[in-house]
Amino acid sequence: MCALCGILVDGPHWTESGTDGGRSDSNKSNQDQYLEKAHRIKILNIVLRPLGARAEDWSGQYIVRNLAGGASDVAPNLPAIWKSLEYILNREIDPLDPDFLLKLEKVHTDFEQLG
Amino acid sequence: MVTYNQLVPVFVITGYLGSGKTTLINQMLRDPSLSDAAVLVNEFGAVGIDHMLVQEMDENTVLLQSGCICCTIRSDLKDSIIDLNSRREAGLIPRYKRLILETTGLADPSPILFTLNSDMIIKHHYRLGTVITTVDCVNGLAQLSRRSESVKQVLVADRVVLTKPDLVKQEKINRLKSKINKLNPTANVSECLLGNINIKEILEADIYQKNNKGSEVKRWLEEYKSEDHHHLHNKTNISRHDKTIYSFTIKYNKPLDWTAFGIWLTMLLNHHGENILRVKGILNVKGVDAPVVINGVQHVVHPPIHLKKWPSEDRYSHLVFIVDGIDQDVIERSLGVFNGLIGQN
Repeated sequence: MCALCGILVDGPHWTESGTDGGRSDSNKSNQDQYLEKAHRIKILNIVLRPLGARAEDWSGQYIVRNLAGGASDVAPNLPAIWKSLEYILNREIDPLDPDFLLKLEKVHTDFEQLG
Repeated sequence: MVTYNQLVPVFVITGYLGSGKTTLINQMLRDPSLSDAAVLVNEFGAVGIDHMLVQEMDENTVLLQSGCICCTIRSDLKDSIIDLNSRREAGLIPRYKRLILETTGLADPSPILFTLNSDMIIKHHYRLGTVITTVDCVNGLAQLSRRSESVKQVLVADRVVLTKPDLVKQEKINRLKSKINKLNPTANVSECLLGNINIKEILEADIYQKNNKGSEVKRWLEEYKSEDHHHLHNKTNISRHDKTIYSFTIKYNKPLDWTAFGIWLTMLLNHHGENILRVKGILNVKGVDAPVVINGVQHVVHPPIHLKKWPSEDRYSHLVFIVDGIDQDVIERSLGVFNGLIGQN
């Protein structure tokens, strides 16, 4: 258990155990894990932008914030992040929602135009 | 640290009332090849083990001649598994290497699979192995039309065992196989006669077992190719409640970014997990030489694994979905948008 936040420390989620989680030698180095997490947060923040939210690393966990209201929550992995976001944004998050996908594509285009 | 493929695999045996689960379990308990197994059954009486008894360890647990440990499930499955594990760790019962679990005939297996994959204690000692579903050739068609539990049991199966094939005509068996294939095109369907069950073969569909994962994935892919996709895009009403459950395959030619894929799939399963009944696939992941296999049941996703080589010349990613009321086009578009996010570093 994390002494600061009280979150039970679980094993790596399948999205974080590399692409070969079934192997005995699949444990990544700390540096690899850090770089992968940084990449995950970068992409996550592109996805969260149309939702008005942001994610950051927080002592090995993630902290997600509602940029409009300021509410925040701590989550250990991606499935927990979606639950936390639904809680602090007070809405459902649907990756199949056409409006959300249009906004996401626009964010993508804006990023590319910025170079 | 115990790694995923060192965890004790749990094989789940499910199937509707009277579909032959107990017969299958009964034969497993006698099979010498399962001497390293523990079997959790609903009740001792039903499987008739008295004459095989070597030692009674307590009121819930016995050791059989085959070397197999047989235990009854108490009121709570989770407590039964944890209790069994405690006794294994304390040396009170032999250190079994696999656990076989019988569900009740009316059980929706999804919560059981979720418990195995999410309970903090269980998941540190066990992993989900193969889900084996028994379907009765005599009553299977009717049950699949009328009983939602029966449909769910087939949907989560890795292997479907058709029981009592000797009691019906081949034409009825073919119709039953066709219906099962429509529901779950990636499940291996086999017929078995009482007393003629190859236990080892039934348990071999576990993709985490050495030397097996390649052939298992190849079978998934061949299964839908052999059907010319004709059923993969047809919506099939499978229950009297007029719900629409169907399967389809997304073939994706662009290498996938693993991180974006993980974000997308967890987001999708968070919102639509109840209606995404299965997702299985082989992925061409950017920066990874080996093909990556994923396998999920509703909210439960197994850790990915690498194959040594591609099963064919085809280098596309293939994702097989079994869904309830979600359009293929919508899922395909969403995946495309998420995977398109990656060029902007």
